[in-house]
Amino acid sequence: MADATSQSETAGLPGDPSGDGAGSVAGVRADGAGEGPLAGYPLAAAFDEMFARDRRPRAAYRALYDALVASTPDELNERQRSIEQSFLYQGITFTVYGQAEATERIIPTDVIPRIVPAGEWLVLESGLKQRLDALNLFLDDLYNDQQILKDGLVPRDLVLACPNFRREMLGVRAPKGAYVNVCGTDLIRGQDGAYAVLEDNLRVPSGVSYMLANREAVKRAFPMLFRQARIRPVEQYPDALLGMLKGLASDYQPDPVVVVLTPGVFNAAYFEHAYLARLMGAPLVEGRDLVAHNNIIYMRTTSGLQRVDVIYRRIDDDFIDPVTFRRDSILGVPGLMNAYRAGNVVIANAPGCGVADDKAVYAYTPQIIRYYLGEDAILPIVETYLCREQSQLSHVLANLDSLVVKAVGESGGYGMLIGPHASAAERAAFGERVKADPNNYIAQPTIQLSTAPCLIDGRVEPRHVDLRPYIIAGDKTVVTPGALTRVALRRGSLVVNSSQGGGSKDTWVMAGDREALA
Amino acid sequence: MSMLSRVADGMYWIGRYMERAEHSCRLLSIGLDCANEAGRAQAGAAAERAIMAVSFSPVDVTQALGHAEELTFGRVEASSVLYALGAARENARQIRDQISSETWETLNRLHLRVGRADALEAWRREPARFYERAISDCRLFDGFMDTTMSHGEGWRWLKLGRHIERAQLMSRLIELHLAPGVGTPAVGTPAGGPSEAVGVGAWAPGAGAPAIDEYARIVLLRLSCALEPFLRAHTSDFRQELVAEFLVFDPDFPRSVRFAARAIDEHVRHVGRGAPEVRVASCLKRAGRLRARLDYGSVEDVLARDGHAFLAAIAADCAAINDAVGETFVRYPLEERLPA
Repeated sequence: MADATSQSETAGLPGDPSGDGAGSVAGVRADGAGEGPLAGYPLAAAFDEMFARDRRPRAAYRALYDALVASTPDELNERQRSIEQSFLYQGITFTVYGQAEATERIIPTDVIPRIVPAGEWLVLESGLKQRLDALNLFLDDLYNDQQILKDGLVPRDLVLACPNFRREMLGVRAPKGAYVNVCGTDLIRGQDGAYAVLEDNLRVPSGVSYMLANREAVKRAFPMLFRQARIRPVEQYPDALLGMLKGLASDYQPDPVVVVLTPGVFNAAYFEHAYLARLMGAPLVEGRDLVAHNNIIYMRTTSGLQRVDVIYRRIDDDFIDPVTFRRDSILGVPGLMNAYRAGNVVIANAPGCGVADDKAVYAYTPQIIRYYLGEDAILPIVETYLCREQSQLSHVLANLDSLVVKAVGESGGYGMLIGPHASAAERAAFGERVKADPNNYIAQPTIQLSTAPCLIDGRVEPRHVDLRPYIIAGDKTVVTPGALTRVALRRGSLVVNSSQGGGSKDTWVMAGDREALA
Repeated sequence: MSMLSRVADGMYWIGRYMERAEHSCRLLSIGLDCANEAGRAQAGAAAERAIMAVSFSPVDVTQALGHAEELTFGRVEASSVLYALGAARENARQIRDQISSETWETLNRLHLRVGRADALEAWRREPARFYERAISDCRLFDGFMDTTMSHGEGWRWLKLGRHIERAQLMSRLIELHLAPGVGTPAVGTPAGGPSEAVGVGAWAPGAGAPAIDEYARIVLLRLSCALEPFLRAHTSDFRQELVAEFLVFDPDFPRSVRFAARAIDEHVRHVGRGAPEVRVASCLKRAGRLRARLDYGSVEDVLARDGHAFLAAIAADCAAINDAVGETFVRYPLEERLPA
């Protein structure tokens, strides 16, 4: 998963869009954050999802708060254990390779849901949809007319030098204009509670299976609470995904054959690949199951070769076709890109999407939205300094102690400096690297991510979280009313990546009056 | 929609490994039980045969527990229960999307339990109970497989693997009991080292199948999970020809070789429709030959001078079917199937 370590003063971000503060709640105990398993719940500088500054639970969390206060630590621990056991039995695991042998671990998951009020969600939904629509228009433009480069809105060299800009895609038009078909956007909340986009994951975003598995588990753990809270369902996601994938080939195939392409059982996200394939009823294929012949893709079945129309690939661009991209890849299908360019198979997401989630291109996304849609961005981004600009470079070098500096080509929390946490020597050394290759770096203020209550050893404690909703784009763009909330399980840590000790929790999007009627 | 070749292969091997795991658990459990019957003269030989039928290598019956431990938990030992469960689970994981969740979870839980750090301790405390639970989970797996999965092609592949493995294991188990020089030496010469003729050993030249004593025949029925069904059919008349007839030729007993052969024949007919006829025909021919061998054979063939050859031919038929279906449906050359 991508990183969410960035961060910052929240200056410049607009206020909490929902207006859902404790102020609107009547009759809550003023000593709120201090009963039962919540005893001693500390509120620090970060925005807390459950508690307002005056220590009262926010309106959306009221029922959850009451349920937690009424529970003993043993009961909560028991629910947590039961979820973990169920995950283990279901095989919701990833493999850790040690010296002697590989062991499978469950993805840490937290029993306490995170809640998003209906009003807040409406804003997020329209913002995410707007953003993805604009990015798809941007990709279509980049791989065809390049009008935005001609107009000088985004520097041509920045785009063309991006390793995820794929020349092989020039002149290719994605079906329905949707290059990105599945997007997982990372949102964070600053100290004032305002949401901001931290990163778009446009290549092979993962985690949606945890959104679904968490929901199933937490629904069992808190059945009454779930019912009372009127939570919008997420179970339709696999159907929506399959419908979108079929739609991509519907112009020339009445009933297209859709497959999920996985790198195989050794991939950390293998569980998710198998899970989605199972819930869609689509074959889960590996590269070795597919063969290209006369620019048509077939899969090897017991009855012979069968044509494949749509490939939902969960393999990076680099590995999908050794003839076109990395020659040493044994995961892909030789000849796949040619079949794709010939229009005989659809690859989702389209190769080359990564140029639009590049960390430097990110800085231009508000302008990109305005350029294509003529609208202001509904969701702000985190203030970003491009070291390639001389004036911004000197600002970055002068303020290394307060900034997060990231290499544009890296992800997963690697190749970065968190200024406030680094020593003077580390900052100096990193500064030299930035000076040597400024094009490769961006910087952002250090943001305190919001915190949410998590069950830690029988006590409820705050941990930093982010929010990753999933957006599907084909004929239309649809935001799933739910998300993966990623949790930095170590106290004080801002790193939510699963590769670095992060966990997740279920995310409840409340139904507003409109959805309740529907 | 037709089924991915890799998936068919995975299903097939899940079936084979699950059958092997269950079979090994039963043999080891009964083998240890016999080994404990120190007061009974023939029990040592019975224990030796049971354990040897799992290990396919010489066994020192005074070390029965050590052998059983290795054959249950050995991580490299390809015939160990843990290995078989691990292989079944790994196959299942690779085709996780094709198996019902209940079936998968039963297998996953069983594998976790047998592989857990404290499993060995539980086994040492009470081996019989340990095996009983494992066997019961294997049957739960069967039950879920039959009741929660569509009986389409994937299920057929699972069943095919199961029955091919069963036919092989059963014919070898029977052979091991009826072959001379395998069971007998340990009885007569308790101090003697492991016998040379192991598992698929030859009959003694010029002799027919030796008679094994009644105790050994009863143990053989227990090892085959057949004691109660046999009693229903023949009460306690444990004559050798009745036992051999029941285990090899009974049409209704699900662990008889004939029952397995019929199942193999049926499942081969239902997989991979659409493969080239000439290839499919070779699979059907082999399955049909095995079935005919058992439909038209008789217990005299088993107990005759060359009875060993009869049982060995069954194992060879199974191996040939294994290869033929693999080459026809899974590892076929692409050139043969490319569209013109």
